[in-house]
Amino acid sequence: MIQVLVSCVMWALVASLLVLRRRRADHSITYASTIIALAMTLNIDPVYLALDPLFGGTNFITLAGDMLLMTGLYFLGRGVMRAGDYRPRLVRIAISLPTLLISLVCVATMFSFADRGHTTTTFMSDHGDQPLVGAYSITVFTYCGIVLAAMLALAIGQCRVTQGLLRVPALLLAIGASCGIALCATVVFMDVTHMIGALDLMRLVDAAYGPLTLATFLFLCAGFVAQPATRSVLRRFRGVRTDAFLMQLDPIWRNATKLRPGLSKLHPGSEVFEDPEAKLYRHVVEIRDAMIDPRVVFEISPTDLALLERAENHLLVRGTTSVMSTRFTTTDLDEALK
Amino acid sequence: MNIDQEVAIALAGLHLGEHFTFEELTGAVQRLRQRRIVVAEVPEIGESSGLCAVLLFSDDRDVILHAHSDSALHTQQFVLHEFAHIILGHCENDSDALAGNIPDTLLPDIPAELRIRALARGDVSTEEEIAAESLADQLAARIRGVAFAETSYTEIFG
Repeated sequence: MIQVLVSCVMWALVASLLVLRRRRADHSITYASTIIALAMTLNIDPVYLALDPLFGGTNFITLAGDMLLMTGLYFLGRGVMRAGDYRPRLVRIAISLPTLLISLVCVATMFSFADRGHTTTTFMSDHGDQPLVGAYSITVFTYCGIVLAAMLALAIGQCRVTQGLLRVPALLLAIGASCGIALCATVVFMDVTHMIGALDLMRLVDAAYGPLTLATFLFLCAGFVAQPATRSVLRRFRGVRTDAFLMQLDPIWRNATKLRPGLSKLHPGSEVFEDPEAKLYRHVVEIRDAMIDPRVVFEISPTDLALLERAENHLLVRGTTSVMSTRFTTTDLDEALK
Repeated sequence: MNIDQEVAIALAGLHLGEHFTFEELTGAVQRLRQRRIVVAEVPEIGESSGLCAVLLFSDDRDVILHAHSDSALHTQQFVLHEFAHIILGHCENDSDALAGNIPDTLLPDIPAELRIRALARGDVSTEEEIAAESLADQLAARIRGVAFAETSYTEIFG
């Protein structure tokens, strides 16, 4: 049941990314999601039972699924490496293509030499006591854990530099990556206890496997969908607010420019004013120009002034680094002219 | 060449990309002029004939003096307008732009070498002023865009 849920969540993520990221140049996340979705689909019992006999009936689909999972995570890791500043040499090596290829060769070799029996949907339970099978599983999940640790570091870094709604996707990714790391640790622990015969200990942590799997995929998928969706929502919301300010300030601006014509009257053909935000900026500047020009009598009510200030705050995008960059240090005139 | 083309060429000539911070712009303008730029607020400027800001320049520095405004956005526009004059190469003109229009009573302590030429943001009536104000708007838009600019993170995950 969990495998079906995870697969559905993954394919939903793929569909979402294909829509939300269709104009993007980098497709690492889309590739990663598609490959992982395919790996998860192979884990669905009826699919597994239907496919495995076609490939010899020796649980080859287990290997195919795990190799796809590792490949998908390699693309995720590649995205992480491109996206963040967190690139220690060791992590770069761990998430490189040669490391993936070596890991794939290792797991394929270990799997080939293990006693795999006949098609079963409980491969690790049935054969996990073999050192080769245990080592195989440990290799797969160690690789997954390394990629997820890099993802966690990136998500935490992103949480620190974002605010408000934009922090939510990074937070979801951080939770998902944490659950994923816990899941990988659980699996490795189960592999070791299974190999050494400590089955009571293995069953003790087995209870965490299902919930951790579900939590990992749910949170990671939510984070990956939320990231482009949040930006899109914020942009739309900002556009709506810009239009609203333009409409509300229009009568004030008309009065101001009657008394003191500005650029919008003297150079009306400019293409720049086709952008609503540029237009709003111009209107705010021209209202302010009229307000401080001693040659004209132009005053606005406290209500209108409050509206103007809200429009300015909207344009200055307070709370971001760009706002800090619009501040400059003024010095005393005497100092300036020394 | 029309004003919009002139502004577009000047903007491209900065080589700052689609978005930049105010600090990056200041740095680019200083590199362009190969001298430091000093900005100072002089409230008295606003009391005189609609002036918002004055750009004074000499061989070793450019000085931007601007009026007081309660608005940070408006104050930024004063400075960006003067930056625009510099970027558009209006400082290289031989005209004595507005040097004679700034009364001694307004800025009595300005050293003689700084009074070579001055360009003031007052009425946007001449082609030079229209170009400078247009460019200032575009500079403001690019600074504003920093908040929404793509980072490597949003490029991959956004």
